[in-house]
Amino acid sequence: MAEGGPVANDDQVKVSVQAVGKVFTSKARRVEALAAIDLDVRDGEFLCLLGPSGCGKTTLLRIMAELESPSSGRIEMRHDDPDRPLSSVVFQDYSVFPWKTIMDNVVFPLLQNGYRRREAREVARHWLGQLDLAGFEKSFPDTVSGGMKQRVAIARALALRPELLLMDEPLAALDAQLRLLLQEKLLDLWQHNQNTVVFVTHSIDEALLLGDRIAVMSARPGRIDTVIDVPFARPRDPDEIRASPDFAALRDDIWHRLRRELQVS
Amino acid sequence: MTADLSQTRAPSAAATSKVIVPSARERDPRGYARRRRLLERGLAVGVPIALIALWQGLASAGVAESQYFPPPLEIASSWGELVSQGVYFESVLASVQRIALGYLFGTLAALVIGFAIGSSKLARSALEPTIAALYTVPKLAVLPLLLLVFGLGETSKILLVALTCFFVVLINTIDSVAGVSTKYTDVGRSCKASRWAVLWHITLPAALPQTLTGMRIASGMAVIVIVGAEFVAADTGLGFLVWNSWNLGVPEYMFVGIVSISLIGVIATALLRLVERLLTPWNR
Repeated sequence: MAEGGPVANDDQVKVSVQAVGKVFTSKARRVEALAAIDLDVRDGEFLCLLGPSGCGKTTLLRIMAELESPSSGRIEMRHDDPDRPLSSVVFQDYSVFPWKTIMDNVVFPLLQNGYRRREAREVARHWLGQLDLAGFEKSFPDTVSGGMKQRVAIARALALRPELLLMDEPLAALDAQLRLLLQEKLLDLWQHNQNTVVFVTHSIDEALLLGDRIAVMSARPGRIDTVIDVPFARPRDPDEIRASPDFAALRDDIWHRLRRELQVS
Repeated sequence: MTADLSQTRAPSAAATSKVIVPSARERDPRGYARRRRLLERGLAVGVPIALIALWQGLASAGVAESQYFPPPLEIASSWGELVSQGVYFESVLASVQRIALGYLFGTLAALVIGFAIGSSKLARSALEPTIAALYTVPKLAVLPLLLLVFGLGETSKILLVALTCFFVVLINTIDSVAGVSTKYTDVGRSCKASRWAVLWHITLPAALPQTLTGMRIASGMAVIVIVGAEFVAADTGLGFLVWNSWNLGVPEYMFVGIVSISLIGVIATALLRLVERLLTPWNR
């Protein structure tokens, strides 16, 4: 278990996923994407959903974001502060609006959540600064790099100060080096802000570096295979963690689980 | 095999060395870009002028039958005649007015209706087959019906242009609105934006580039169809000028009309490209 670092309070459950199933039905096929998922997300924790492609981790996240409706089961989400939105989402590959400037991309959700324009611009400026995007407020997203675009998407979600931040493989479209840098950025931001985070990834290293707990999923239909407590203390130093023997052992352990899954399916 | 390999490895007397150095373009990139731009603009203007000059030469040399293909200088002087008689601007004004009014009505209606249909799956299922069937009807074939209902006045011609533009813009608008990626609308839904906010901030701008392309194509078709209508059902306008010149046997006037019509098309297209640049600044 984590020592010293902020440990999620066990009796404080933020999101309770109870026997949630999802079936997609198209013309000829009926695909069971999720089968009876039970999962608690604790208040203030960073939970990683880890699994092979097609294991339904994105579907589970989309159900939590109310973008998809569950076919069975129920989800209870606690909304503590009515002045903050319950959740916001960082989507996979660049979902920033190409027709809005970087500033307006971050301002848009704020305006939809009752901010006045002035206030929204101030908040947006702050978060763009946090993600090292100061000076690019007036640029259109297609004139900047992929890594910057994804940072805009992250700033856009963080600016809302959601109680629950849902991230769907936010770094998957980036090259390996950029990915490492943004992982460190996310780690840093989370250590300062401490929202509850559900983070979908297929990278074991990423899950170990960022997560308090890792829910390992298995494929077709998606189930929670096991939930692993990540023992690294916070604040975490990425280089130190990657070099530690625990990191290697855990990565090995998770990899063997995933490999078994992949060989079965 | 082995013998060949050893031969390639051995330095032969005929060996030369390949040296790669920066090209002229790399050594003076600005100058190169400037010369290139000049060349491109020069060609854009020069080629039409050269073609006209060739025509003039052929006509004066007697190669081209000047009865049918009057030399450009004669066309130019006829142009002057028509202008001084007042016929020319009257014709241009009549045609441009029909095109502009018809285009405006047809396009605006198509934008509104196209948006509504495009954003509703049910509306698309209900109306798309009908729209496809109506779209393929050559609009000029409807002209007699319009004349029957609305008479020989301006209404029938403006309506014809409007109908032509309507279907082109409608189909493009429906397609572009229906094709807006859910990855963008999901962002709106996930931050609890209202239906109107999603429509205004996401669907509209996402659909805009393709919609504007439809509007540009429609402007060209408006010019085409008004000329056809003016041939048979007008006593003003550039189409009438061309048709009447045939009746009078004055090919010079005919060419004045033809060139003017194509100029209107070019100007309309340029205007809409400008609108595209202004409305979609993010498209580079």
